[in-house]
Amino acid sequence: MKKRFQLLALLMALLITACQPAWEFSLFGLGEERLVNRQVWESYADFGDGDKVPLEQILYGLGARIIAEITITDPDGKQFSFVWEEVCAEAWIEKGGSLLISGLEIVPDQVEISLSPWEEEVEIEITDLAPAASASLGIAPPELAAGQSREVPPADAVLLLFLDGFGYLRYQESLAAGLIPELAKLDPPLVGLTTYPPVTTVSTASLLLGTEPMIHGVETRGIRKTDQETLFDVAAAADLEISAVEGEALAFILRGAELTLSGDKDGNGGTDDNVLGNALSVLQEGMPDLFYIHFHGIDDQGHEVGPGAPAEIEKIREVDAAVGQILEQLPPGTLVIIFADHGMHRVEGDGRLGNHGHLISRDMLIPVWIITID
Amino acid sequence: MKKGSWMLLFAGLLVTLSLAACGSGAPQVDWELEISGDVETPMTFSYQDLAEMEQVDLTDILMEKSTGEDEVRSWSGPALEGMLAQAGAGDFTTITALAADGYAIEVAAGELENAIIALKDSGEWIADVSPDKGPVRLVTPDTPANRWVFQITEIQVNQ
Repeated sequence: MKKRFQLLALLMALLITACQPAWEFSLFGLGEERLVNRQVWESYADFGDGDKVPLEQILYGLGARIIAEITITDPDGKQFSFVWEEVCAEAWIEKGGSLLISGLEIVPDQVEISLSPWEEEVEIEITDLAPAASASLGIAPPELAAGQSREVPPADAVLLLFLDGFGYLRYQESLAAGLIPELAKLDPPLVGLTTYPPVTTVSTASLLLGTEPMIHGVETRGIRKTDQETLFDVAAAADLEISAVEGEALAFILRGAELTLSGDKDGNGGTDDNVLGNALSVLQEGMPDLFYIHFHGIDDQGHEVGPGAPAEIEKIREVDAAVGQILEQLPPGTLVIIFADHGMHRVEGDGRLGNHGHLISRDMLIPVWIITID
Repeated sequence: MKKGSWMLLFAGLLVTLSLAACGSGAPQVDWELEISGDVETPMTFSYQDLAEMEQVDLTDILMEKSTGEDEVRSWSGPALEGMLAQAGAGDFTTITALAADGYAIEVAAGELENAIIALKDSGEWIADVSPDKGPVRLVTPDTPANRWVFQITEIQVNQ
């Protein structure tokens, strides 16, 4: 009886599998030709709603980092071209193999990806920063770290200065507009690349673990903790003193750090002044071996009023001034890594005027300064 | 019926009676919430303590999420204000709410109006229906849901 039931179950499973339509299309533009089929789709199904998966998630997994355009050819040879930054938020691959781009359903025969020329300009990745900090402190990198440590000098202490949402293109615009006199005093930053999705939780995990989301497992916004070894874990195991000054809340759980939160105690609508005050207090007590300071304001204003709006510009000026004040207080022999986690692009609707999270240059490119205090 | 079966039945009856005596019908949960910082008397409330306190209902509250669709839900639990008063918190500027997984957030006093330590979500014990978001959760109805710390273990009062 049991055997008969097992056979029936096997037959039904085979029948269900056979009923699912097989589909496949060729993908060009990411090195050699790739085939995308139902099996590939299934491996990304957890990122979707059961019926469709964000196309970017699969393209990132296949190697795309910054996309400029996508051209889809259907079985009749008809071509559809899209500028990626115009459609990235509404581009899906359905369970049945069709692409759904801004509401237009297309059965693909071939898909051609044009990568942004910016990909060629990238000099450093966010996954390189933990190995660099580790090398400078003379400790091992986190266990999963795959980034390059680069040639950093040994340092007595390392400061990770985190400018949330200050993407590389916004940096360039701010420099040209004279908004960042303090950062402008430094050598130009490296062109950096963050990981996908370019959102704070995922980027922070990539920063602290030194590897890509598909390895460290923090692949979506909602995850705020990792059990894998972080830069802070390694530093704590080496008996280093680690301090972190955050905004009002932890964007990602910073296990191992002496934490100071910086709520909006003065009720002025922002926390960057509180972060600065707390950071300066820590420095007055003495520079920790590893110090992490996170300014949130540029990101907050970018979402609320959009990049380029007066309130966001004011926030960039404020954070730049804060960076200047912090740099003045650092002891000689400190390695400073100033970086962003992601950028920001303008949007309309959804109650926000700025957002991030896509494989576009405004979201994926970040500035990275690595300097030593003499 | 064998003697052992009678004893089992009797034990079951005793458990049922003792649960009924609790009145709240709350599940048995091993959880503690500490109130610390700038207070006269630091306190620790067990889950059962919280369940036996006067329960405040927050009905049809907008849960403004940073990811996903906003939701409207109802929550029940003891008022935070009463618990802070019990611990002797005077004037304070913020609280720091800490969760079991290490998450922490500093919330301004002005944002805590009508706040509760929720034990129920839409009439169901959080411990039963979504243990990964419970068993207790700070709900501050006038703020976005990123302040609604789930699995809350400690509230530090900051002057």
